[in-house]
Amino acid sequence: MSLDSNTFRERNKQHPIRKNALENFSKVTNFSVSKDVRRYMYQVMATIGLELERKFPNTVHFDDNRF
Amino acid sequence: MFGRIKSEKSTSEKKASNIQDYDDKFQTAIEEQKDIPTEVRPIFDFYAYKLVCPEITNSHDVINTVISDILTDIGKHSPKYLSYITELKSSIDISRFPSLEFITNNFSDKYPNLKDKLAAVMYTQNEANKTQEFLDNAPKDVSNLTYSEYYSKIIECYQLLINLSYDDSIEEYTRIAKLAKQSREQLHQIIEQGKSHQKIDKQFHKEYGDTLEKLLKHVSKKRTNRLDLTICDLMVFDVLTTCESLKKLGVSYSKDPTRTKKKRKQNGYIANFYSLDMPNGLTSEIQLQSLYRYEYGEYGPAAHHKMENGLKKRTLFKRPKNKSKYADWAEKQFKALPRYFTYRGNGYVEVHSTLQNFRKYYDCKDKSEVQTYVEFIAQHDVDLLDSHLIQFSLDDTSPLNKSTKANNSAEER
Repeated sequence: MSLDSNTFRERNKQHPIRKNALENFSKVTNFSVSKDVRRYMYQVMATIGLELERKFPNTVHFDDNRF
Repeated sequence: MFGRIKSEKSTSEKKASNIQDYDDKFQTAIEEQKDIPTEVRPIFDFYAYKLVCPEITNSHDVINTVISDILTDIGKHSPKYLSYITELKSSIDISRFPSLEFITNNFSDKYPNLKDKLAAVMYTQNEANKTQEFLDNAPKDVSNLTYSEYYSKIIECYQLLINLSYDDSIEEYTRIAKLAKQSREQLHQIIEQGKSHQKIDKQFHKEYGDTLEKLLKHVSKKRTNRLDLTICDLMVFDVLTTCESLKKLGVSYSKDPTRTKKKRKQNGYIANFYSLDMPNGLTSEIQLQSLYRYEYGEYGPAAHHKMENGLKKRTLFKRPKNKSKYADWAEKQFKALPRYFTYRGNGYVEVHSTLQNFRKYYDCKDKSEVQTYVEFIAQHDVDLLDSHLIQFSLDDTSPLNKSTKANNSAEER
């Protein structure tokens, strides 16, 4: 007996490989918006900015109010 | 440079879309009896930074710093070449470009892309110089030109604008080519009418006189768009790969070609992408654009909200007539709102208020909509109305606490 596409999809949802892939995806996309993580992201940006300013002092200026 | 945290709405849409893509591939793999994919594509741009390059006036300094860094890096990995490297460093002449032969002879093994990158710098610098020469010789007073000279200059401007476009941005240069064609036809008509050597008259000057002026301004703005990006690409790559403070923060530069890439779209959207891996499985992307391309992508023909399918239009949800439903409306807006933060220089990061985010993201024509939103935020949390500054230093390098749990339930706004 042939199964239609939807039935196949429903069956595939229970497939162990898919379940595992979704579990891992959920782990890496379970992003935090906590204050600590946000502060860390600001710090990474500031570090890149400071390093660019230090290495290329006559080139980089971050004083543009358009952004 | 500024950053943004993806909105709740956009994140959940992307999650759903990535799962759908995975399911489609899964289904196809089963039907075609191929290997089943084992990974759903993660979301890399939950935290994203955008760096808009300034106009670069000292490309030689930049190149010399980058080459000097590369030499130091080679020295670290191959101490036996230290004396040779010291000699090479002293041989770099700041006043001129290192030759491609010099680059090939000294860096090809360890830095195979460097030659291409520098060749791109030289090419784009040459292009920018030629454009500058044209601008320097451009007529200051249009009213002294003949019709023929006027249209010839206009056609030259269009040609330069095409030359300064990227090969992949077909829609962009096709549009310019059409305008150039129209100008050629107009010139042809002028010649047929026997007016080509006549000076342009007052009426013509009044109606069309500023066309050339506007075009010259546009050429001047676009002049370094390719050069700036190629030079800044060298700078950012150098910082991301050699900065010790970033390493101490646990940040590493991803060499995955699907994440570190150059986007050259037909509509003229041009950007280079770099990807950073961080502790706790966080990833972040940096998008680098020249100022011209940033404005082109933000307000010009390549703007996101001008996409044909309209899905990404930055329009507000329709405000309900019933005031009691305003809170629901504002909540919906809030969930669709990215959070922005900007690097202001000298270690200062400005964290924008929700209201600033709202204004930046949406095109709010109706002031009462903004007012309603402000009232909602004020009721919710008055702190969200104010932006604030945080200062960091390069010595402040405590990595993200590994015990900080990733948690999607927004614990605070």
